Amino acid sequence: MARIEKINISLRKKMILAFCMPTILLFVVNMMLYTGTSRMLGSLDDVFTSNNLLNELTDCLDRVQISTAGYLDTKTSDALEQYYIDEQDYNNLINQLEVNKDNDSARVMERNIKKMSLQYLEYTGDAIESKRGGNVEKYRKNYDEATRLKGYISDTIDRLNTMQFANNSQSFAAMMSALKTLEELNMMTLVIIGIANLSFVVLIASTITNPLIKLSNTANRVSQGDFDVAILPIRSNDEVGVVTKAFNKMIVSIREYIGKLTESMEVERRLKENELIMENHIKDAELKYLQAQINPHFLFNTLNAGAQLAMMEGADQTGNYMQRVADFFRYNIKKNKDIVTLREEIELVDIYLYIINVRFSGEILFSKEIDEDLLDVKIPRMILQPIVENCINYGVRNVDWAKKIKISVYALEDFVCVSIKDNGIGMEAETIEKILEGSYEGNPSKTDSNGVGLDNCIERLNIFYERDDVLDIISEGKNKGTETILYLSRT
Amino acid sequence: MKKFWGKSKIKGNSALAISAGVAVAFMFIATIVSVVLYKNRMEEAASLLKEAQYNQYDSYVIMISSDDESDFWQQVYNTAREYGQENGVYVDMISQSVDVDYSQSQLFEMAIAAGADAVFLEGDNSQISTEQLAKAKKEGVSVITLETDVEPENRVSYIGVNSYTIANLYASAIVPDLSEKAKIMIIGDNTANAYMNSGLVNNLQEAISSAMPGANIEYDIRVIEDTNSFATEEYIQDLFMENEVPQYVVCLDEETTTGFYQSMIDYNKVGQINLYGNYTTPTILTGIYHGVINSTVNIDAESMGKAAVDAFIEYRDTGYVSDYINVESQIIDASNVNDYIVEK
Repeated sequence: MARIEKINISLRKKMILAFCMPTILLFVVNMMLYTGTSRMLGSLDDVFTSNNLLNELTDCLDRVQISTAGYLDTKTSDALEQYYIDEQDYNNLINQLEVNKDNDSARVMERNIKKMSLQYLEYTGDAIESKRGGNVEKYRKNYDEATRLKGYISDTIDRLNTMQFANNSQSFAAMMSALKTLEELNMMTLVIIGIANLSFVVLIASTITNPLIKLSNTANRVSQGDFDVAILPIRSNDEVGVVTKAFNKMIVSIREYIGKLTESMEVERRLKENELIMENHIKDAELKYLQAQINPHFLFNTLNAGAQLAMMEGADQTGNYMQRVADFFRYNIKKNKDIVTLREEIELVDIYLYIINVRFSGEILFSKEIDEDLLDVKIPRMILQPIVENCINYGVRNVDWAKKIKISVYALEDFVCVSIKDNGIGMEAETIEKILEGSYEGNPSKTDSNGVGLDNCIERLNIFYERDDVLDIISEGKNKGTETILYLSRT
Repeated sequence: MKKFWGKSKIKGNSALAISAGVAVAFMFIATIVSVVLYKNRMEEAASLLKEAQYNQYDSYVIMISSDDESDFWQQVYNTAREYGQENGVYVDMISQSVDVDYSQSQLFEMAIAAGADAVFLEGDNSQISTEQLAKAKKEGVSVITLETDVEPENRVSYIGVNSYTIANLYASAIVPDLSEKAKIMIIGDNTANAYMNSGLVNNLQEAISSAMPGANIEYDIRVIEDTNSFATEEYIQDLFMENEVPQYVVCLDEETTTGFYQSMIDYNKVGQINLYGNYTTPTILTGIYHGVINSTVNIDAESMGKAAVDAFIEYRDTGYVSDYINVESQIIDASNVNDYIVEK
């Protein structure tokens, strides 16, 4: 590709060039046409010069004849002087004619006029001299000769004048036609040059403004936030070139800046993502931590009870009991499974209540009212058992009447409701509020639970469902029992 | 991709610059073309005013005839002029240099005043006086007479046909038509005076007599002396009106021949009058062609023009030339008129 050299002309010089050059050219052409035309017009004056000379000749010839006759009539010195003046004038005029040998009728006539005129002046001169000398016969003869010759000369001049007038008129017409052609040529040239000049100015103006327009368009795009613009080509080293260069640099800088910014944002995004993952992990850890708060005392007591039962009774029941205990713990140690179905949770509650009833000699009457269709809903592990445990420990444990615990599962609007209801001592509103706020502190001496407190459950439920109204506790008052309701989301 | 894009942009930008350059070039070309056209046209116009370059002649000769406008003398003049140009002699018919109808004598005076080297003169003693001829001689103007002669001492040469030859030509034309008893009118205007003077009539009479011995021929000789305009025509009209025209008419000049020819048609005399003319013009040839004019005596105008120029050159160069130079002449009649019509 041929490399296009940059033009080192400043904008000012370019504009001066664009406007001065056409002006100068037009001026020069105009001057040339004007000079030519005026020269032509000047030469038009020369066309009839020959006619003028012939007219002068005729006039002067008449004057010579008159002054000759005048002197011959009067013989005064004034008349003689007049004759000499006229004779001199005529001589001067005929000297402008030449005795030529040109092969042309007009030139021959010119020659004849001169020859005859010289002869004529000879006759008039002789007539004057003869008159002065008193030679009447001779001056008369000479005067007659002169008069006749004057007639011939006048007639020849007239004829030549007519001929030349015809020729000159032709020349004049030809020159006028030439002048007309020149006029048309002038007009045409001026129009052509005018149009070319106009095109030149428009083109030069475009070469000046185009880079500016491109620059402004690109700047507009940039101002609208589109940095994906091409680098503008720099065609010249003028002011526009300088601005374009600076603009290009600016674009490159902005792009680099945006690149860096994007990079740093990416890093920030990643960091945030990591942060979120971390948060999740923390949540998870928290959950795991809460799940891990199982009281080993409970395990001990339970196993102890199992052993006592085995001793007092036959091996079948003990076996069954131990089986249930084993099931219970198996459920507990399912460390890799944090989310379970409601069904599994209820199964655990079954096991738990079996174990508890073994422990409390079947005092607790456990009933279920369950919509089986809703049991597949997901729920964090170890939620229902602690609640049931709470019901036993804080609700029905020390009551005199028959201890009842009922679990219901039913649908309510978008929720799957799990109700754990006891007929124990009930709960004061204050206590309920504290529990729900997580600020309630139970009796620390009670260590025979499985280690998972109600607050732990509530917290885990809130984290899992990401809302704080998952669990509600209802108690109508003292000895009126307590109902704990879970509002589980269906999904 | 970016490179291509850049290239196309450069192309776009250079297109403008190239177009601007083209506009400038166009301006310059238009200016140059215009200047060239302008210059040519100016030169063309200026050349109109420029003095023409003429061939130069060595000698200036003025020709004066009795009737410069006639076809015959025009033919003589044109031949002499053209032939003269080839030989450095400018032959001028000075009567054409003035609008006034000057007499031969006046024209001769002009020719001397104009300092001509020579004058080709249709000799006519009645027009040109001996004094004038003598003055010409004194002024060094050589006079060469054409067709008719003047006194030999005042001219250097005579170019023409002698009256004897012409009389014989007329006789040869008339005799075959002539009856034993007849009247012949021999008529001519003032230009025919020289013929009359040179004994043409006598020679004609003799020729006829010798051809037809014993025949009773009566001759009516008329000269139209009136030189006024239309005098010849009027004279001929009168002859016809007065019924004075005989059966045989011999005309000695062009004008009389043409006048008789026209009058014969006008007065319904074709076939009754035998007309023998002089000179050759398209009208006379037409007359012969249609049988109105029996014949005409033709003097070869071209030979006369050339002979005049040759005679002058010879005299100028050597100071000597033949006293008499004969020019061919012949009879044109119905038998050979077609040759001349075609020729003309």
